[in-house]
Amino acid sequence: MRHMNAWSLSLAALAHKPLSTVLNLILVTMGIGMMTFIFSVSTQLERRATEDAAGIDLVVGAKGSPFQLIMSSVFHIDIPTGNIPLEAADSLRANPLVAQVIPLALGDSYQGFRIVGTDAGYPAHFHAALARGALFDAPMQAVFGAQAARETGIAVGASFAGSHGLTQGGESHGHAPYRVVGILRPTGTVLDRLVLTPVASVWRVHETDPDEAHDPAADRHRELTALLVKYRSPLAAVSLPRWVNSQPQLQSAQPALESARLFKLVGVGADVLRAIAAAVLVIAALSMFVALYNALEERQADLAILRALGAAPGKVLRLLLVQGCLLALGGALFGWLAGHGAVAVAARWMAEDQDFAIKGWTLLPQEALLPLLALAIGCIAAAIPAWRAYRIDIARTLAR
Amino acid sequence: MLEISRLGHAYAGRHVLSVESFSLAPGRHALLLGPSGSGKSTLLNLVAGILTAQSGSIVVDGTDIAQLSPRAADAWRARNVGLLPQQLALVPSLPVFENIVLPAYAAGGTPDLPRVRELIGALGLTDLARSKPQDLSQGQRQRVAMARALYTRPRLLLADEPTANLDDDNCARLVALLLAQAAAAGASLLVASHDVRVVQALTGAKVLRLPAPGGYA
Repeated sequence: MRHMNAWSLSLAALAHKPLSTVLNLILVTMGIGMMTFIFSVSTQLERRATEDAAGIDLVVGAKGSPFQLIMSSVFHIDIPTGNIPLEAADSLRANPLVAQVIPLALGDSYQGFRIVGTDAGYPAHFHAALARGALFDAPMQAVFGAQAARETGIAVGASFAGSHGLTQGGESHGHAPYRVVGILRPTGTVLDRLVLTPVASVWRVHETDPDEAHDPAADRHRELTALLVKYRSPLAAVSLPRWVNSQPQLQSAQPALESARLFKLVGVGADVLRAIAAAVLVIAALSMFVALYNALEERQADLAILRALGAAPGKVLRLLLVQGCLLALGGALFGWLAGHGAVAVAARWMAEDQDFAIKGWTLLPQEALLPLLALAIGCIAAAIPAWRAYRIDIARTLAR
Repeated sequence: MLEISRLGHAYAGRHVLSVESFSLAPGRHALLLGPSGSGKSTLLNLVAGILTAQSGSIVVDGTDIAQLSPRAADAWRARNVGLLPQQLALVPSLPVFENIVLPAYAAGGTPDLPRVRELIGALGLTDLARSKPQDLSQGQRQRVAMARALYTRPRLLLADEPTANLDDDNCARLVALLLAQAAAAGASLLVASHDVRVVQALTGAKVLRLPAPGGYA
């Protein structure tokens, strides 16, 4: 340290009191780490859910909980509420207020990834592009989402059998194997963890005899799980849900409304954690204040000699502020790393559950505020000690 | 180089110091004598510009310290005064080398590293340059404080009871070092002490005797 400045002097002072320095670093690290974690997870979940539900105005499914309907057919988390008749899709398509109806037929999965019977409108809705192969154009052809393909290690041309149910371990439908015809590029949406196939495949798998001749009359008794509806006109929002709900077997749910309900639920938990993190930061600030204040008592003589050697009062004030900020910034850096590390661990753990996918090292612009928060904490903790250092009575201190 | 006239100073209205007239020629040393509470430290602080005189003048090389603003006094002190305070006030978190170069930080200059090495050599601190103050003896600490005071090649070297905690051997060595270093730096020594050993050692120094509190100058 041949060239001294406020930073190197503060570092030396902090290194001189390792126990107190480490304790304060830990407190700031915990507070900022919790802040980072909560902020990153909740923002990513919200962003992800918004993207998954974007552009879908209404979901039509079997009667039951509208929340469950959205969870099962938009986010592919929950189990479906039941099935609806195929005719419902036709009558909705015939409605002039409706721009598009995307059918969804759920029920099976492959290695934990849901097999979704649908049409080409579903990948098109997510602007999905093919990484390899082609889109399905016949029953029993399947297109894998990017994550589903990566994690199952499946390739175009391979065959696989779906298993009954939406989780792993269901009865295998060995009699009706699928053939992989395409793999999609990552879209950053729920599509990445789905296996898409024509609706007819799902029906065929569940027919008792897959080799039975296809009878068009049977289609009328075939069912779907849900319909994703896009409005042609905003007017549809007024009349369409009411019409759907008046049908004996149907109910409608609005993704925007149900997502908001989800975030309200998750938000309470996040708010509690955020409050705890804020409390930890207040404790950290208090602890730093006590440490700096006590250190000031011991350092009266060094600060007085600095003044006696010609340092202006502002220089001594700055020295104390820098020391507070150094502690807080150090804690913020560690906390930020720890927070993202925790998100990465949580992401891995959540990925196993096939829920929302989040990433540990997704950086959000608002995180740039963390160093500012740390600086504020450091300055507040150091303010009173710094002011006392500014006002130090050199003559009296050096004579003591 | 030092002219004091009609200097008066009081703490909280209590008269502690008055010096009618005192002058010191360049290269000469001065000895402030007087019992505890007679205002020796106060006078050193006034000459250093740490305290501002309430009346009278202290002129050092043409500058009246008593007329300087606090900020100007800080800057003037950084350039012209070396301080050896009674409480040595070494910074415990910094090694000897950094303690000596501290005035460069305080005054905002570039560190003069050859000067630090020169002082470390002259004061026998070569093997201790990386040691922390708490690992040194009182005599060694005193020498570090002296090196710090001499770093800027001050015109005035002010020492407040420099021998208070030293045995006879160390006391003699310190006074010899003070005289040698002051001569090498071309500085005038102003030593406040009531130590007989210092009085005996600083023969030839001009004496300013301060009366006991409550007495009359």
